[in-house]
Amino acid sequence: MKKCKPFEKQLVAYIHGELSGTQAHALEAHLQACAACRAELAARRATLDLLGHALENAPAPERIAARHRLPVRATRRERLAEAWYSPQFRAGLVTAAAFSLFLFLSFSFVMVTVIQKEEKAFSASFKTDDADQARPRLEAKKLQMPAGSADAPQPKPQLRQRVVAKSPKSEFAEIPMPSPAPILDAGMAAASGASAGALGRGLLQQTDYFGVQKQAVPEFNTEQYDRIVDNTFKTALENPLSTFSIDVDRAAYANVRRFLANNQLPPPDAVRIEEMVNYFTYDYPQPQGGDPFIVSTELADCPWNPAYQLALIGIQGVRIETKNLPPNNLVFLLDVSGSMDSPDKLPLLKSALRLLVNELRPQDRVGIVVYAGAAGCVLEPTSDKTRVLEAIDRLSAGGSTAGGAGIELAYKKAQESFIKKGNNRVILATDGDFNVGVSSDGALTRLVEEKRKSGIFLTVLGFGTGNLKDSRMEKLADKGNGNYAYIDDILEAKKVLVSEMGGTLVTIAKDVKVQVEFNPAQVKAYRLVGYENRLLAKEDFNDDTKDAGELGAGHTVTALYEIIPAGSDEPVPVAGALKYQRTKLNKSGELMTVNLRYKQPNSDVSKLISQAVSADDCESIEATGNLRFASSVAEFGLLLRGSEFKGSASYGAVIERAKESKGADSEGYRAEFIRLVEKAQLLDSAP
Amino acid sequence: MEHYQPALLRYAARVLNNADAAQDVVQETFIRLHSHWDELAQRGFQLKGWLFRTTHNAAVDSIRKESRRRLLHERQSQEAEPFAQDGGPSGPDERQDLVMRHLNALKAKEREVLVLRLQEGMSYQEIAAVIHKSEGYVGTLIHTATKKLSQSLRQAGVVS
Repeated sequence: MKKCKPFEKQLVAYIHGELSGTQAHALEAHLQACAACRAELAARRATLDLLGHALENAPAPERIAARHRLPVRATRRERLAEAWYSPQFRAGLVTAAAFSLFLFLSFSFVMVTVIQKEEKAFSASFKTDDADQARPRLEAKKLQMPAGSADAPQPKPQLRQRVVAKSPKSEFAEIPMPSPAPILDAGMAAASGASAGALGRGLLQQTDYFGVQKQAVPEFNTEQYDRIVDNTFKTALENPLSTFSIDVDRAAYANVRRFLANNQLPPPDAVRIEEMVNYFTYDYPQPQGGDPFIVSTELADCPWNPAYQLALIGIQGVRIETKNLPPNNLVFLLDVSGSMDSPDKLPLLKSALRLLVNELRPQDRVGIVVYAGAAGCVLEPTSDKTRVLEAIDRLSAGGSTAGGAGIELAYKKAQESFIKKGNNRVILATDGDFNVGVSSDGALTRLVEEKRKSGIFLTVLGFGTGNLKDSRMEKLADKGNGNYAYIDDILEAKKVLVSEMGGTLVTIAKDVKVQVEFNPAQVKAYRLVGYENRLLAKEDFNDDTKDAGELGAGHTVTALYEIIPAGSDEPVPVAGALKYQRTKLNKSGELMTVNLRYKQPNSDVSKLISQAVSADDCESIEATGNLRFASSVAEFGLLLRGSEFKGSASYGAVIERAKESKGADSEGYRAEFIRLVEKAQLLDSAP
Repeated sequence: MEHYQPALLRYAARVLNNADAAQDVVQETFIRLHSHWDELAQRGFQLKGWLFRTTHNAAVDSIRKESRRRLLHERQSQEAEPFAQDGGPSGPDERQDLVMRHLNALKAKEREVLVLRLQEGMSYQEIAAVIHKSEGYVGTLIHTATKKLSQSLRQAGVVS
């Protein structure tokens, strides 16, 4: 037990991925051997999960409510005034005084400073004549001091405030703001600078206290999503380069669909707009010659803001016929822990796998590793379909999860049956709840990153509800040169694993990065819609060591930019003018240049593709089929996220545009989208 | 800037365990930002870090002031807010309330680091910059806070 102590102190840091590699390895070794520490790790993780969730749902003020301020303070003062006459308070004062005396003797210098400070502020708070109107800070002290200065209560002002406090609360809404607040307001307004307006608005906005309406949570829910903060507008003059990694995941759309199917609006952080847009395939030209993909662009007026334009960048990966696909070496890593024991998890997973296995060819190999209480290999890699199907049938759920050991074993099996020039891949299917053993986010990602170098790719399939660790699964797939799909029903399984098997399982280009250079002569500002967690530094574009997204066979990737054209009066955030530099603009009619870097799946050196877009290419939205549908999906995303950039977006407009641009829609996905929007519209308008 | 307001309010509300005081503290932060704007802009600064650091400072001030007043209220409040021990937590809302109550039983500085980590997703390094302490100190504080919380939740039967 004694030797546990140093490790026990590291458990939380380990969960938070804050240990160094060596520390983490040492701790993991200890955990393997020590059941007590494993239990403790699980308890701490559960505590942190519960707390994280409770914090998320706990009410907190959204805005500083101006009208709320005075009555509250008066109430406090009232309490204080009452206390002043109580014997306890006087006794407390004596204690406090004695304590101060002690402090005074011990730290006389410090105290002198503090007292001077307090006196200064205090006198400022009552001698209005002395107040310096140009310094809002002092005005604020005026608001705050009486409440805080319990050590020197002044009966007179307190009594006056009591009268204020006694007027009923509702009156404060009607009567003009009582004295100190307007002074503050004036102070704020008098001060110049672009920030003053925004600041004043923020401070004095009349919102309800606890303005947030708590979302109804039907059952205890520990799903995790990373917070998304919308990209903002960047000026083309100061930030001409916009760099991001492609994202071919579509999990967010299936997840949003699942929420809506349960008559719930999804939480904003579950809505990754780029994944919603990329869920659909678009009608882009096919690549010619030997290129793995082709880039196309469209430009039109922005439907949710008439002052803007909307640019689309579409990437079409080359299609590969199933028979021409390289041989597959797939190791399924299946979560069969107790948490998977639900009809939408393991049984759905088994049906999905049967679909995939039936598509496989004689040259393909499949192995199965399961993990629960302990990780184990249930099927050594084989090409015998019947044996695979039998193994799938035998799977049943039970035990708790040890994802870390499972991943190790799966990669080991994939390595053993590695096919050169083949598609070597671990397919992880889970609800993402790794709750025992090696499972700190940091350690898992490190592990997956390490395995990436061996040429084995990773596909993550998410299942189930209520416990989905969306953020962790996306991160894993991202680090493991892989993709992440969320399977909510058997149709989605068919789409991901059969119809788009090439895209899901075969990588045609890796580390695909996009860098768009905007021409300040034509573009005042731009905003990338979505891709918030895929942004790269501009230097990363030419840095081949920086990881980025993978493109699968037949995949399309779509990105949208909102563009404020040069010459528009739209206000954009600008940093101060530069003193020493002057930018000379090239007189070019080009709006932007799209640069793409990618690597062949087996190469470490990137290639560059460039394509310019002319400002004259702007068409009316009716003329652009792909952009019309993509924009309706993006607009839907902005609405679901309640984005500050939604402009005049409306469900009605989304539905109308989606209907017009539905096209052939042979698989019915677009029709389904329209039904989803209609449902969201109803849910959103419900009280 | 307004963008950070809800986050700062959430943070302050949790640390101070008082929504009103949180509004005062965040207001103070924005006022400080405003009055030092030119100086800060000239020097170049990380807005988010600066805002959280200043809110932390203002919250510390507020706690110091309040603590004197609290001396006399302490006995009453301890009697007034006993934890509901009878029965266990039954619904999800009650469970969350219980977790929050146990969180609020921790020291303010312990609550603070947990909130910065779990609510704001900051790294230990970022937290250290906000509370003017070393990374090691942050690690230890988060460790003790989680341990305490884990133990009290275990006693309450929420965590097995």
